[in-house]
Amino acid sequence: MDFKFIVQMIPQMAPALENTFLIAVVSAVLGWILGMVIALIRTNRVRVLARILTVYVSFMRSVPLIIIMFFTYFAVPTLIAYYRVEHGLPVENIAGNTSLVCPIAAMTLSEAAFSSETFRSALSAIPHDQMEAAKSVGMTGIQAYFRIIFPQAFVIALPNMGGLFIGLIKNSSLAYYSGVVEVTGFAYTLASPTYQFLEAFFVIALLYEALSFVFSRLFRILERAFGRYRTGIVLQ
Amino acid sequence: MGNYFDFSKIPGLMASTMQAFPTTVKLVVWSLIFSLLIGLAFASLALSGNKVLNAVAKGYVAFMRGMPTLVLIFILYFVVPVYLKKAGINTDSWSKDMFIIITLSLSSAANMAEMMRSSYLAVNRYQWEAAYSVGMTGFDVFRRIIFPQAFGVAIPILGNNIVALFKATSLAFSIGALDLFGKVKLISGRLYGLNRAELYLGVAVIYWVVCVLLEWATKRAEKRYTRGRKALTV
Amino acid sequence: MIKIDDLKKSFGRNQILKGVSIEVEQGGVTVIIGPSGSGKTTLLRCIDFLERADSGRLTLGDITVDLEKCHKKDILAIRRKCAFVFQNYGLFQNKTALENVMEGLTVVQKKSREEARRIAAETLDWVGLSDRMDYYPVNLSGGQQQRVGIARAVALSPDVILFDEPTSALDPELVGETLELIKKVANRGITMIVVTHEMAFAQDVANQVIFMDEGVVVEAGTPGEVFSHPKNERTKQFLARIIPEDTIYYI
Repeated sequence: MDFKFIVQMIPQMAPALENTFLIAVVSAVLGWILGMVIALIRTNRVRVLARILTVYVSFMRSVPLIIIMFFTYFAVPTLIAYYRVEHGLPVENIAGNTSLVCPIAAMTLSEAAFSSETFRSALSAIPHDQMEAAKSVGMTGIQAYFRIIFPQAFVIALPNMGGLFIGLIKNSSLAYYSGVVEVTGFAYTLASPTYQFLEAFFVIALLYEALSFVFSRLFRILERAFGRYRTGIVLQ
Repeated sequence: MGNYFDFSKIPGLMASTMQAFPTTVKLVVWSLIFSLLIGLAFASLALSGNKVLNAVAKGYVAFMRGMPTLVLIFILYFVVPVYLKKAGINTDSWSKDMFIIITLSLSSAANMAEMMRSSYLAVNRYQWEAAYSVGMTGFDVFRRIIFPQAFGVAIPILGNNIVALFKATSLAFSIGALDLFGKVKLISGRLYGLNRAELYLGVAVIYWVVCVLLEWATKRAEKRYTRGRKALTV
Repeated sequence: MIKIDDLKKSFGRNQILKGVSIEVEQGGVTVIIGPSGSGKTTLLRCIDFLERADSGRLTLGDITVDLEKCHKKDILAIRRKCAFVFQNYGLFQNKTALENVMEGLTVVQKKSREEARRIAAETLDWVGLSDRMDYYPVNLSGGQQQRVGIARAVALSPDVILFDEPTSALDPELVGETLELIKKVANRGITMIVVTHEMAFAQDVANQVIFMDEGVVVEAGTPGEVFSHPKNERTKQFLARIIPEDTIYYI
């Protein structure tokens, strides 16, 4: 193994790591908000919308993320360009797009579907009497959700959310195919000229393992911190 | 959508894409077989009661949990052959499909091991005692009492794992294998990037239909297998 | 018939059984009573090798084994002479009531399916469950499950049936009928060892009552001897606590 290569590689990796993080965190935040909305619409059986979202969730969970990414990276810009041409608008060059928008859009759309299932089962795990009790003391529906239902559902969903987040970090490796230089793409391009794949992949494999370890620990800590309701022990 | 998105092109493109379906099925089936075997080995280690073997199994599962499949493909395709060659094993004749099968077997094995471990542990330990008390041998207890119950627990997880495996084959294109999505890339190249949206939508629908069918089959299998055994009250 | 000699068993540093010796005669009903934690359940489990004793000897019919260095073959031989009725019923969750009873007959005793089915159906009928034969355990009430458990034990026609607190998981209103059934089993002349808290049942059915406390047999004798004329101070205290003075003769 060429340690010199590794020593030179690590400091250069910072921007790539930043991209990986940005993709994972932004997709998590946006995806989870959307997922929560989908879960609420579906659990409350909002007529047509709930049906449409059921189909959406089924579709997004079935289609490999790489296909969704190719769609947002290659197909959507092309469609937009066609549209602009048709309407006589100026068209920018769409080749070589390296913005984070495409992979984040793809991952957010997919994460919304996956996380909505987590949130839906968490919401359905809260007994009906919780909502009734909240209303009986005079809370509005929204107050009941934010003060009583969500805090409990959040605790139930947390372990799954940890898994989802680690999944996002892993999936961000696909952003390499959206022209974004994240960790995997960086390693691949750095190693290619001299065929030093061993060193490059060794480093990023360790990095991914470390990230997954750190975040699973972090979520474990969060679970413990928020788990007061569930264990029934309240520390004053 | 104007004339730049042509729905009528989709069926033709889907038909061309479907030519690669047997390849995808082949990747899934072989990976499934190997991942079940490797998973069984790690599940046995995890349940062996030996601390060292236990740690080995846990380590493997955790390692695969943290490793992106794409990175694993690159490692097995670009790095490992170099060292196998040094050890006297020439991988030049190995097909790209084979590398994908190896990768997916190894990564899915972690899920399979977890599935087997948790399903086994989900069976109440009193079931062992009950079976011992009527005089059964350990092997009979496992075969007739424990395994059937664990299998019932495992069916939905197995269904999930197969769906995940099927979806993961879409990364085969990354080293140029010709699965469904590899074929899509090939077609896209031949069309000079035209009708990309139609092409991607077509392959997405193929994945969707297959996944829905797999989920339906899983549910049916579980229902049939555990019929009557679950409490009637919902 | 059954003889246990100096049985010792510890869990970690905690010695549960400190050298227990008991003897049970053929066809007799032995009831073991005692406060919780006295080791009575552990004793029963050691007889069926659900728990491995640390030392001691066990004689069952013509087999005598050293509990410490007992071979797999002997364990199986003893288990095949014993049947066990569990506190939590211990039914096979993947088998119907009928299959639960048949399982030991086909797999262990190698009877044909037809014969096993006939015996199982007869026995389930005998315990009053002829209309529940094809139900899975989850769809049976606790009382019904315990009947299946008893039927499974009886159908094996074992030399001895071990009952481990067979009614303590049941709803109070179901205890009586289950005890009636166990009495019916006793009347068939099957040797039984019963661990229970039901003192009235012990007085009514037992030939021998054994009082255990803190891992030793404190007193053993006929129900009359143990309940009416306990010799040991610990027995007296236990009985006074568990049976109020004025109901001691009430059955």
